[in-house]
Amino acid sequence: MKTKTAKGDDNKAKAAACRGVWVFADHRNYFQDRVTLQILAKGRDLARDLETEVGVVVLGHKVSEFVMEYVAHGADIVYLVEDERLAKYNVDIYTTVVCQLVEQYRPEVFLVGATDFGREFAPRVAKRLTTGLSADCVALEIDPAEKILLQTSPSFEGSVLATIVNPTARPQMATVRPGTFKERKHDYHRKARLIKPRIDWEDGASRMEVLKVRKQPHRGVDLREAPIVICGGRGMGGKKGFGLLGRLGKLLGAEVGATRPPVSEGWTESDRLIGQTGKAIRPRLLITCGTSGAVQYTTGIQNAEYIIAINKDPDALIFQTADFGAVGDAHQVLHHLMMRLEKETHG
Amino acid sequence: MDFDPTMKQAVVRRTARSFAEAEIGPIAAAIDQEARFPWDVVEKMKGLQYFGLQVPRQYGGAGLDTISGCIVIEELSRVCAAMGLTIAVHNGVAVHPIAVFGTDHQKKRFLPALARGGQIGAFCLTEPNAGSDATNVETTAIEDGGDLVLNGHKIFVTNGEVAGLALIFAATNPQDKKRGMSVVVVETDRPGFSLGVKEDHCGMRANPVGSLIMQDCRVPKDHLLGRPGDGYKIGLQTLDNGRIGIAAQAVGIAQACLEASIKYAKERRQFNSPIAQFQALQTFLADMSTEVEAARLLTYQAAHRKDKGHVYTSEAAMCKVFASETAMRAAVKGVQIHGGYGYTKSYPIERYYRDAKATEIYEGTSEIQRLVIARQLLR
Amino acid sequence: MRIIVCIKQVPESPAFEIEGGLVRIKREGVPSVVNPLDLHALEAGLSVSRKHGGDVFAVSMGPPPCEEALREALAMGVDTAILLSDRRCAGSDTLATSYVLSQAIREIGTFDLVICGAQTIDSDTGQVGPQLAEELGIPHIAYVERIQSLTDHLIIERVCDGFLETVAVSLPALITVSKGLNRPRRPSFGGIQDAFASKTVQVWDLTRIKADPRLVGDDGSATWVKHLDPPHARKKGEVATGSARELANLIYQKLIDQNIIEER
Repeated sequence: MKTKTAKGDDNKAKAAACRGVWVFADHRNYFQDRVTLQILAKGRDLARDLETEVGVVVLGHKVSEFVMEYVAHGADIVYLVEDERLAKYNVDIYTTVVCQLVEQYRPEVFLVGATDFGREFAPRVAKRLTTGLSADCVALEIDPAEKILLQTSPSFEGSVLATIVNPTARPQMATVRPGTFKERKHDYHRKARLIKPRIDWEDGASRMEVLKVRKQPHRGVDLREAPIVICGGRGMGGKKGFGLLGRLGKLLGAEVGATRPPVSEGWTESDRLIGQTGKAIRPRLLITCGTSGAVQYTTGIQNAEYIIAINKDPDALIFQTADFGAVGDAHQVLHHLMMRLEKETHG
Repeated sequence: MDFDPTMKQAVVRRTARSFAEAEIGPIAAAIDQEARFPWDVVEKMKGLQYFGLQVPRQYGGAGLDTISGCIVIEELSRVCAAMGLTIAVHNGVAVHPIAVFGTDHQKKRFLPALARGGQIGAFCLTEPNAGSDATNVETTAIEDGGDLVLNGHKIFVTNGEVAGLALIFAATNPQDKKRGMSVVVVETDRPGFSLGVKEDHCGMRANPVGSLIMQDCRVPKDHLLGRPGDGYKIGLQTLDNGRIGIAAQAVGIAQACLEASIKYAKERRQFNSPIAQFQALQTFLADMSTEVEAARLLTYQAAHRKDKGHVYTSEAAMCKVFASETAMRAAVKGVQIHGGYGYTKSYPIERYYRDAKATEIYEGTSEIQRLVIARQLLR
Repeated sequence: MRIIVCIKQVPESPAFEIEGGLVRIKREGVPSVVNPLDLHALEAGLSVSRKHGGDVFAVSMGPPPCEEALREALAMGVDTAILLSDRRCAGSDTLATSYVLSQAIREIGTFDLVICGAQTIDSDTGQVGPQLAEELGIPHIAYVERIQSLTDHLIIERVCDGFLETVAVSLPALITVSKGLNRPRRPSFGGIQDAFASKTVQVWDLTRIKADPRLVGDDGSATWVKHLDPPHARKKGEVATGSARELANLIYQKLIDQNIIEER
């Protein structure tokens, strides 16, 4: 067992020798899941501040199609390991391969998307490398004085943001919350270096086997876990209004919630209730329609990252809480929004 | 003198609160409206030993101390006073006398089923002509061969409709008022034992209060608790114990009123402010909170004295009268704070208001409690 | 069969104070509970041991008040409860925490399964489980929703990024569990009474578990928290007026800006 210390004296020297901002390619759900592209975009900013390059680590079997996408979205170097052994995501064998790459090429920053897999895989890598890892970051910057990564990680289910630093251990690792960064526009003219490293497959054979993998059938997501929520209030008028919200939900991959009046009236089920006596939600995006903004409701939506509100009444309390408010009839506004969304996805 | 709860008491409170909020909270208003005893929740409570809070471990109970028992009743009552009442009465005045006055044989016979909730207990003293004047019971328990034959009518029996085991206060010697009363343990499925009218009462409606009728109901002589004539003594001592549980129940109701009032006062806006900003309301809340604290501490003090083996008659009466009147005051003020909405079923405060009133009446009216306290003072 | 469940005591709800422009976590007067997912972990350990025989250990690293969490574990039915309490552990990040837990587990001896909750409600990292497995040199699998079979290896089902996976892993192994795995049993009052009256919580310090102090606490951590901030205060954002179509277009742009949909 290694007795490597994270703060050993030789670590500072080693840290200085590390170069490169790496991004782990989580491609399993690409095209819908774009977290790798988002992190590549931020990676370019970080690399510029560190005067270094962006590398992307691509593991899998028959995954070269993704290489072009990653280069088009910002990678300078592609570390590609293709093998049948990597055909299914497997935390054991992926840890082994990635750690070999890190030990060989010594990046100074290594970013992983905070997908379920990323959040179980990155800690294992960090431990094997005896380095620090911050989870589910919602911001990353380079400290101008110390040239180290400032990692902003939410705690207490988003009630507080912790800015974390990893001064000497390398690489500085972070998992990044999907949707935090904006992907760059693709540029298929970009060029990058392709490296196909040699892997020692005997070092740590996998102790697990993925027997079966199948895409989960879509079932109702708990409002509390949903990344995008649409909430309807009294202003939605009735069951028909909630039907409209349901259709919008399908277009955006969003769950539909409600305030008390629709639930009391029976326009939707009681498990959809958001607020003080219902559920507290913390989505990336909340679109709240025809809701007045009573405090019994708004206490349940405080931790939403971004709130868009639509209400006929310009003095509605909800506009005090929303990041963007639209004064108008929710039915009409949503109707036009859905038309635009449908046109853009099928156009 | 340590006023901090022990770690065990903190765990007991959290466990009871979590259960009450998750399992009873969602149905509390409905079961009150429908006057429905929630058997499915009660089944869960049985497995967790709500029906054997202080019964010794050897008989299948939890063996908790009295303060812990109070905490459980308080937490149940905070969510649903009716369920708090069921547990308080079962543990406080049905199980308790058997545990204290029963022979080893009787304890082995009756306690395990009571502790696991297989039988819910009822305490049957009150009759049409015997309320505060408890010795005026007309129910008789006459020896015949190896049996006692019971005849009579008991009313306002808490848990009455669902009770499996009833403690009947009956005259074994009808000639002697004070020394002729005894306590007989009766399984409610015995021939001659039947349910009378189920009461349609104001509050705690999910608790099935009813009357019980005995017509030549026979039980073996060994169902007599203590000796013939011990009824008065057992009654007084049992009520001392039961009053602590009722006080805990009232504390729970008062606490619910306080929390509901604070919540409403922060939300409700009038004259461009939450009404919590108005001094009048702040006075109400401050008084409510002070009285709830005082009621709780009085209750724990009585519980503590009991567990230490001290005489606690006066303290039990004090906590019962103070806590029940606190609950009523808190409920009245609570409805007032809620204004018009407080008078409707949109908010739970009207239920607490209806629930609180009974605590001033049963297990000894407030007037009787004051007599008990005065008597102790003027000895 | 020996199962070790790692649990953590966490504040029931977040409480902060702002002092001199800095946000600090308030501990005084805030009630503590067993981390909710750890209750599912305890339930998993107890039901596996009921089915397959064996004993269940509950282990927790924390200051002395954490004894309460371990008493609750005893009340639920675990056989042995161990509190790892040592001042030097303060300030440990997940790297250091996983080291301390692994030393304690080595001190316990051989084991078949380690169970952790997938993440805590305070630090939310979900890192201790995988890092503990790595430290112990055993495989791990996270977010277990169903235990299919347990013989000389473990077969589980889990949901990972929208995929339902069936995974076989050799024992000894570590699993982290999700809410959907089970419904944690509530302790009975008799269980609580026994947990305090007749059972004990062992308290181990770093010396007892032969832990190297350089690898714990601040010294053993690679990361530290520079500062805490409240989430962006909700202030009134812009409010737009216009025709329904104009408003819809503005909202559409916001969806792009927020990375919900891709710009075309």
